[in-house]
Amino acid sequence: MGYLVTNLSKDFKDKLALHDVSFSIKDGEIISILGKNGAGKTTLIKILTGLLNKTSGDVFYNDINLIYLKSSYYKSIGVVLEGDRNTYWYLSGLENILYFGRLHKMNDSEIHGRAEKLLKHFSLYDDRKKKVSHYSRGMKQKLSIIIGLINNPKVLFLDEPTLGLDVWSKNSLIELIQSYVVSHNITVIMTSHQLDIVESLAKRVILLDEGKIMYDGDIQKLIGNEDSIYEIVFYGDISLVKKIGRGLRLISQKKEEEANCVRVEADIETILNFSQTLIQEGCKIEGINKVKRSLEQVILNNWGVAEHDILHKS
Amino acid sequence: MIYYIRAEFNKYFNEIKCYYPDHIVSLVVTYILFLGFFLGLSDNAFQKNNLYIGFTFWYFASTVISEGSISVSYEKQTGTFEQLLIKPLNILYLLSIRTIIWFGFTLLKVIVLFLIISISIQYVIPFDLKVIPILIITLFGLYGFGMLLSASTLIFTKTASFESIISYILLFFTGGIIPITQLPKGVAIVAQFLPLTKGVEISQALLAGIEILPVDFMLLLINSFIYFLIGMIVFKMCYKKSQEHGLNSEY
Repeated sequence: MGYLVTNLSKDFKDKLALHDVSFSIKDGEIISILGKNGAGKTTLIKILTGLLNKTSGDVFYNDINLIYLKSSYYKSIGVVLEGDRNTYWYLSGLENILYFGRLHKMNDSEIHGRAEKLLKHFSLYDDRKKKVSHYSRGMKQKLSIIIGLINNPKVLFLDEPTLGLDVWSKNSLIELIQSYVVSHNITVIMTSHQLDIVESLAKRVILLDEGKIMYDGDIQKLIGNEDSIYEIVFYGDISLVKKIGRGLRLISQKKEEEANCVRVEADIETILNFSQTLIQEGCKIEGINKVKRSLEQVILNNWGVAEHDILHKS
Repeated sequence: MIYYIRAEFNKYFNEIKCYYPDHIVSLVVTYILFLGFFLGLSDNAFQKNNLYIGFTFWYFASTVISEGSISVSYEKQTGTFEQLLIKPLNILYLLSIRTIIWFGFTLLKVIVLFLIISISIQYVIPFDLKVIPILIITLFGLYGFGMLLSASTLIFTKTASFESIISYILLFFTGGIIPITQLPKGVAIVAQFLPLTKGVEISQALLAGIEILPVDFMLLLINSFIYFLIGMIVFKMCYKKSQEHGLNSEY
């Protein structure tokens, strides 16, 4: 049960936004869709939420084609779109929750009951009667997520949930989302340009490039399968690195006082061989440290997606 | 349905509370306009009644044709429109509820204004209960016009200028202000088929005590039904188009 996407394509007049995309999502999975601007992330989210029609292929939710699901599907999903676009600023937080809850055909006592729990979970209870125009960016985002969860959805779509938030608000919001969705077994499908957030929240990543899936799988597996980066500090001739470093990929080199500090990428066996050769050549090794790799580094190394493309939206 | 009505009623009520100075100004402007019709535009009671019923119909018509598109335009610009599209109810259904509620608020405003005018200038505003069904049928057709405008707003976002044009056409070319007989022949023929014309004509006759022929009533019904049907079909077509190409938020 969950989503099954088969050979999905979306063709706009002048651009093929998605090309033969297939994947499945199990109930309770937390996945992130990544890619450069224009890679097809938003198009995919919009098709999955029914905001956009596909050109070809199929999307099944719980074995039923999405084209046959209408209001029943919308009762089981919550969508938090990017930015401040989810709420009415002239209404208070609670009034917004009531409005959207009623559109889900929930009665007022049901909405109040769920709203209270969610407002408390997201630490917004004391500010529920303030107008949204007086909320900070982080509070607005929390409110959008509460509204996305008010109908007790089985699937939550998050489009850039932490965009524009400071580091404290960002971390706190991610912790709150994580604790809530995990305890309620909610499937989360999110997009984000902040890869640290993706790494801490999602278990699985789908990387899109020009409408095609470049990678679909476990984040930790992706990071773990990679050759590792090591920092080697040694005394001696730095030009030896290029001469004897067969199988190594030099990332950076610098001089720290008398010592050379090089960052290389290779498997552990190659690193050990290289170290032995360095010693044989008369160098003194001060230390070898493994550098923890981030998702961002893996993506940059493998798919050459420029950092500014990942981190900033146009 | 009750959930949606409650949702929209509360939202409008809170919006009015929030922007009350704007609504007070609108009320004052409308008061001055209506007062003008009763005080100065004509000394002839028959003409005065014609003007008053024409203007009142047009005033309601403006609400009915514009509310949907104003709503779509505003929500597209603030970004909440997509949130409405991913709710269990049909967007056209929601826009219809919004129009009905906004019409309710406008009706209340007009009743209050007429009461104030009656008291302030000691003038008994003529009214015939038979006008109510005529008004409802006329507005039903005008809502078709409203759906056409809402549909164009789905594609173009900003359609206020279209609304103004349509609004003034309805004000001056439907017999409310200028009698159809005084319009140029070509314009008069087109005017006969506008959704407001027949409703205004029948209501003016009712206030003048002239008997209404069943054929006139049938023509009004057919006219309104056709406009409603066209509006609904075009809206659905434009909505489908927006789902294929994405909502265009350009101006």
